[in-house]
Amino acid sequence: MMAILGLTLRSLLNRRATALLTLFAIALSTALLLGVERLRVEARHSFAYTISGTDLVVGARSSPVQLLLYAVFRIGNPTNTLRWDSYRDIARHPAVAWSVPLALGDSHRGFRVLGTTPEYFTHYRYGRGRALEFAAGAPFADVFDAVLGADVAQQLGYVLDQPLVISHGAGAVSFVQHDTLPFRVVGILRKTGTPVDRTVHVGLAGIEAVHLGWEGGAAPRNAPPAEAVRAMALTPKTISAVLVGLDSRLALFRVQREISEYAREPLTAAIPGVALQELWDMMAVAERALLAVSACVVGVGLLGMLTAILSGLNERRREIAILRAVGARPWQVAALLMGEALLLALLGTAAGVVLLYAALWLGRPVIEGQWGLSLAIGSLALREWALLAIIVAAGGLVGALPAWRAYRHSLADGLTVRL
Amino acid sequence: MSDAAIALADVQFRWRPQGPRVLDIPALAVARGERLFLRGPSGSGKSTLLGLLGGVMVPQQGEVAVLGRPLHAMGGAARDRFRADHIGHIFQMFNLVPYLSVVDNVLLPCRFSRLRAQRVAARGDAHAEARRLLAHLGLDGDLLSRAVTELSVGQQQRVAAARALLGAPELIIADEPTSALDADHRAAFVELLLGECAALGSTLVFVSHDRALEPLFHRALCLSEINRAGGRS
Repeated sequence: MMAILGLTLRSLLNRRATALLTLFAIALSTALLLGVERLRVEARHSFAYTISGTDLVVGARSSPVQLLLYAVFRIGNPTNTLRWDSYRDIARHPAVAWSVPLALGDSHRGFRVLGTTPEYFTHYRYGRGRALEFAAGAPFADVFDAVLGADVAQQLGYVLDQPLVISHGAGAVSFVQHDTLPFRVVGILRKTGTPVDRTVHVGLAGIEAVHLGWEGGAAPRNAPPAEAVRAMALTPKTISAVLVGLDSRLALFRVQREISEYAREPLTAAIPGVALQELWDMMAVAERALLAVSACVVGVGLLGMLTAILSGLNERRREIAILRAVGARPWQVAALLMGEALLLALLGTAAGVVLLYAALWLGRPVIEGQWGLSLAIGSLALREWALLAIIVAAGGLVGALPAWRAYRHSLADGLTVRL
Repeated sequence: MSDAAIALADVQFRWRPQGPRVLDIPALAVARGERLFLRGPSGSGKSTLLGLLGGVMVPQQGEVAVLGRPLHAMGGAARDRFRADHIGHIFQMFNLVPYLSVVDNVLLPCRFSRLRAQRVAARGDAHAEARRLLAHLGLDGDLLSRAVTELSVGQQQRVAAARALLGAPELIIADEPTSALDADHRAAFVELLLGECAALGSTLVFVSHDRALEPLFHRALCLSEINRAGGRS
């Protein structure tokens, strides 16, 4: 066996140009597959951690996924509201450590406006418990203060003290503007990679203020001036959802059940992790498609190797006859060819791993900045080892074809090449 | 072990079960240490006969005994090992593995035969033995560091001869080794080969069309005279 291994190495070195190209193709496709796998796992992880530290999301009775879609992802509209009194009851529950009310329904140039309290900025967590950070400014204090997510500020080119007008409804183009009461940007958040980036945050009082006199559903004829509004008691009557943190996770299911059985109005309490998982599973098709495409790329890389080895095989029939003449067994001749494929696959995947880490190291700042995905440069995960093993095994399998042909040649040719 | 290096009896060979007979040799005997010149028109079954002697193929009928061992009754693995241990081959051309150095080409049999490796080791360092053989055949100096593909055909054939002789195998089979050489080199090559075989006491079966070489051998045979199935061309 050692006799053959030495020959395999020399033979590959002799054809180093072809071998290197083949190696490069395998390395590149391996790096791509692992990269996609990394991104997939990280995206899934990051998605699952769009919101963390929040134990329950409470809203009017609906499906947990729908509740999460509008309360966390700002997709769609609340089907119903919950009463301020209900929120007060939840906040007063002995097991509840903190609660943050959310009011949705307005927008600014296509970005959703979220009415909440300043506690939102301390309690909202994403990733592995990361808190929101301010790139500039501070949380809102006045009724007409606004805090922008990173994407909002970047895409609209807004800076601190920028005045902005909130539109009624969620569309990008709204004909109904709350333009008598402009807001002012007092804070801009750092990029998080979550829907927070695409949200305009204002105080609950601000939402209430711009809707004064709107109870009929139409714009009031004579909206009160800002100074008069500030003097009013601006407690909302209804909100869209509540983020709830508990003292102890042990109470989670009990509190969830109690909220679901709340007598005064029908409510739903969703556990974010569970609902996020459900949501992700709905998108699993795209995820699998991506993985399948990169698996195909690996297949193409291995096919390239097969082509390279097979096309060289005819020229090597002399060599095979020589080896047979000095006593090589047919299986040793087959092992020579198989060994080449295995060695190429092995070196190729190893080079692919190196390539992946180089790309991760170089691309990490960009990916973090653009998508807020924090790629860990950790060791290979079990699944990644499995993928590598599959690639090498597939390489061996691919090598079986030229090995089998070489075996046949060595039996049929004997010591003279019969073409 | 009998005294005969080669003893064939009633050998019949076909490539396919229903195909025509390629070989039908009632008897062929070559003594140990004998140097046999074998000629025959192309298609007379020379390559097939050499395949049988090398143990690459076995006849459908008859007995092929080489160095007293019944190759026709041995399994593939045993025949491969026998060939590695006891037979040196020289081909018509393209004898060398292109990705190995000159010395490594000569040492190739040691990779597959422990017996020959031991015999070489008994004479000292394997590389030194390879160089000694090459020097005997007139190859030394910077020739040895060249890629084998850069050697002339004559030089390549001498490297092949050195490989066949390494580890002193009892039987050397040379399949038209001089046909790619010009007349001057031909005689020189054959004399070198014969000299080495004599020194090692090896039996030589030398296939060639070149009847001018015949007088250098103990005996000359025409395959079509002993092969009843011959004559196809």
